[in-house]
Amino acid sequence: MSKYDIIVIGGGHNGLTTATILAKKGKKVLLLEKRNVLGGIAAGEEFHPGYSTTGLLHDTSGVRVDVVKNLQLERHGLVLEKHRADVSILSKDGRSSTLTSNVEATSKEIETFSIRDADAYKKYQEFVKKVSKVFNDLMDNPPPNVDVEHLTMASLVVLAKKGMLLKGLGNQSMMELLKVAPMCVADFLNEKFETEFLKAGIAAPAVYGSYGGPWSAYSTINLLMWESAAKVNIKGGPQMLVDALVKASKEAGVEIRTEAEVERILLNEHGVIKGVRIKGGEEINSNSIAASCTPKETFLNLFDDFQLEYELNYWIEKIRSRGTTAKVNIALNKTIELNGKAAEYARTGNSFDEMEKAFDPVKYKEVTDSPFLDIHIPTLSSPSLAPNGHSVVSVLVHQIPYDFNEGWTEKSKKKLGDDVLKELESYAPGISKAVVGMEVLSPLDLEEKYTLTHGHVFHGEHFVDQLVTRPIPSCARYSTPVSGLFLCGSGSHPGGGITCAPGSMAAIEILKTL
Amino acid sequence: MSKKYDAIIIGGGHNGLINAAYLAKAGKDVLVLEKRHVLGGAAVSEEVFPGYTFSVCSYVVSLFRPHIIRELNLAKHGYDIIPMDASFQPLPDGDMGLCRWGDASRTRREIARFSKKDSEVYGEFSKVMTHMAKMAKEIIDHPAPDVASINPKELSSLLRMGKVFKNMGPELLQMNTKLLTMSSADFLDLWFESEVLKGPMSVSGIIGTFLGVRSPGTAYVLLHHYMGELDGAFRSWGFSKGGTGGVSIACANAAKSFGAEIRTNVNVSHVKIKNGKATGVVLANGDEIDSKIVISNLDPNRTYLKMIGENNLESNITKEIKRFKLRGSSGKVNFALNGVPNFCKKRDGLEFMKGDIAIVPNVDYVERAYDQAKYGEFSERPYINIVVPSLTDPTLGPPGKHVMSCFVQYAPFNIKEGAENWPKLADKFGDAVQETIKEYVPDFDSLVEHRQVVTPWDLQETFGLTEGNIFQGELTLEQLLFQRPISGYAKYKTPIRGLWMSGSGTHPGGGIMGSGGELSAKSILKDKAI
Repeated sequence: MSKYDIIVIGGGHNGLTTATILAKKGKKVLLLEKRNVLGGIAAGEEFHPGYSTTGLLHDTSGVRVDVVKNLQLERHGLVLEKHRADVSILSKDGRSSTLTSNVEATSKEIETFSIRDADAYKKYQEFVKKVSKVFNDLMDNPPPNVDVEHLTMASLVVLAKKGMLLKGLGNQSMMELLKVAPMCVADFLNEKFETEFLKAGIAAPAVYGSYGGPWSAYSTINLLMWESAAKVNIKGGPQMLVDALVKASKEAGVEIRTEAEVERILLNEHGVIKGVRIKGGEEINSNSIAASCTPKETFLNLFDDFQLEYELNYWIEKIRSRGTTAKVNIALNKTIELNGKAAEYARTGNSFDEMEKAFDPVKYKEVTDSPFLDIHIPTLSSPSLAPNGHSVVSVLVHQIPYDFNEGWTEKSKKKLGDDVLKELESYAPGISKAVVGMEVLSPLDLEEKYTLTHGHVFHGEHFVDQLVTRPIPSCARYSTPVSGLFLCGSGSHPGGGITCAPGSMAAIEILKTL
Repeated sequence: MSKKYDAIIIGGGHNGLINAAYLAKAGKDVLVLEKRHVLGGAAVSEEVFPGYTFSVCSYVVSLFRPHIIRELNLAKHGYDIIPMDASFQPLPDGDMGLCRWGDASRTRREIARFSKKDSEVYGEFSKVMTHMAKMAKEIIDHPAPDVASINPKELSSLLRMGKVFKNMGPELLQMNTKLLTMSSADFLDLWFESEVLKGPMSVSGIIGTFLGVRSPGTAYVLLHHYMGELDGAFRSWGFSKGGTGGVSIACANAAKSFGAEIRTNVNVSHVKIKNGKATGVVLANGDEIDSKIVISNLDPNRTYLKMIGENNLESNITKEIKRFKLRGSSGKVNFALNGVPNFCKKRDGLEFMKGDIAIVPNVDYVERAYDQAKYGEFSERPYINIVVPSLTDPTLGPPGKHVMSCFVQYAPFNIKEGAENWPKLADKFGDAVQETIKEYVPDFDSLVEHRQVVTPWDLQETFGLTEGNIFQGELTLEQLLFQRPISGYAKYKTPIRGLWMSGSGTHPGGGIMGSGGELSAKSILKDKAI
């Protein structure tokens, strides 16, 4: 008899979520984390002595409120703001526009440079509000069972309900959604707005982590998904979520081991989960495993060759997870403003053509000289992350290829860091002179540090065929063809980002069998 | 009192002529009006230079629906297709290149030169694609279902589409989702490793679109290659005898044999509308011709904004039709040659050149061509699809001489100098094409006797294709099925009673299929509009 009901592989925010929910239901849970810290890409890091970030990713707008409530994370120190954070959209010509959760106020500010766009923004947000019902229904529930061979009455009812929800939008909005969903985000926003930098800034989340630019079809879906989900903000960033999750998990009785790298998932002679072997050779038994690492890592690296069915192996190999994100953390000896304003969150893009041109080289395994940036200055709300009067600028850099043909060397990383600084100079003149330390993480570094296959921060691209039936149809509902093995990370529905959604929905599915 | 027709068809392209033939066959009194001096629209043969006949625009036939040939008895009226047996891709530096043949084992041997693995997968790939193509036909051969309706008839037609997917089984369904949404390059990456092989295969996903092979949503167009159907035989492409115009002439002859009247050199100014109903047409010279219904074979933009006119449309309809995207991306360059352009001297004979010749040495080549076009330039090194139909049909040129047709992509209509400046750029565009060809046929310059450059601007001005879009509108998912051209009017009807549509801008879209004309005519008859 095994000591543990289940072993959770990976102590990122999703692994912690799954482990805590299961432990709260009385299950004996062991969580194994490879690194010496918990939190995965939600963890803050001291990248230069005395300077820290609040997480590799920094957007917490999509964190699931029901998870925060169910796990009582606020009791464990989490401060959840009930609106998304303000984001400053930066233009190279010195203008900026702040997108806030208050549509009216945002529209007023846009009016200072375009009356047409001020009106367009209101209409755009109205449309988002309408269709968000459909998207949230999709993201807040396990994917519908569309396996045509085994359609049950229950799953038909679920499908019919989704159809009704779509119909419930009214014919006009439904037709509009069907019209715009396959469109590229550039066409979608060009129909509405006129100001280039504003369009680019609004569109940016649609291409984060994707192998495409704003001219790529279906990017509108990603934008609408992001807009629908972005409802809250965690004060202090992702690290605060990790802290609260760790406290909650310990209280619930989860046993956590760090620096415990799983080398192999073990099967018994019937092909059923038996346990894991960790680095050093120790074997730990359990009849169930929930893997929060990427699906490719789970199936291609943690099993022996030819141990899995050919069919399963084939589809897992075909998952597209081409990393296009790099991270540059900068320590400064002063505080900075972006285009003359203090802004904790900011995005650049400037125009669809410039964003598209940043993506073009990715296709040829080359790197752009002028990437677009997703900027976070955590010291504005948490000054203690840097020495007094100093600051931290944490930048997610898009679109930077994993498979750079010149290779990710110290030299090429320095060039990337310099290019990011050069880009930042346009918005914060003099920033280069204030730099006291810098860390550049290429997509290859992300793969090595966080075990992200091909450095993909979402554990696999968010693209139509890899959503809903994510990562592949036979593993889409968190269970897998391997008896006793579940997936609970960003590679599962509804996808990546700091949401805790896959982790919590996986836990609910696991409880049905455990 | 002049005569009143049952139906007037504006535009004598192949869809208009097929529509006329079906209506006339049903005993209706039909008049077709064509602006140019020749019939066929973009499916036209013209003697551009004395002695040389070109398929000026559309140059190969494959998607033409076989049941139309039977129902209109087109073979009797001169429909004659010469099958293409080879698809050749030359490579620079005197390589043997890659030729795909009608004979599967021969193709496999050719592919094995580049990748043994790919040569083994190729057959399996064709099988899966052919299977999926058969299912796609179910969609092409019926009017698009209306998803907004809860009318039982519409629901049952949606259900029929649903069944097509259900019958696939989970594996094919997953493959189908990928096919419908992915880029053609990504989709081929699921199967193949050789960049040389993936090059020419991937481009069939982008023909006529303003997208690149790495753009999502291009993979499903690959199916077209597997839908090619000549006389019921799958996957075959061919030349029409006497040029592509031969298809149109056969359709025109069929229409005439059923009693339709066809006039050329008649320029329609707009549709005559009385109390929201079409009552005939007004010609550019002011003459009027009356009819019970009018059928526009023009693209949606022209039909709505010129033939109907904004003042006869509700503003939300005008807005929707202006959203319909038509960004043309291709041009044609036609050469009259005094000899055979040999694309591979290492190969024996000329059999390898009797099909199409694709200048696309690898996937990156064509993607780079697209990158240039995205920012408003024509590709310096474009993708070129070449045919030398005179090798199989010597009647097209003087003895010993040849005609060569080059489909060239990308040539964006909206060039950064402004579309109206295309005529000034035409020669430079032609030169880029000629230079590209010279990389494979070094002595090409000395073979050229004449050159005709057809820019996207010409396609608009001469052939009436708005923005030079050869499919009368982009074939992106949001412009297909119940949304082609706009939702609510996807069943060949328009907001004007008695005005119908039938061109490529309607379901199921472009290419020489004839489906637009056929399905439109059948809808009109079913509706008892006349």
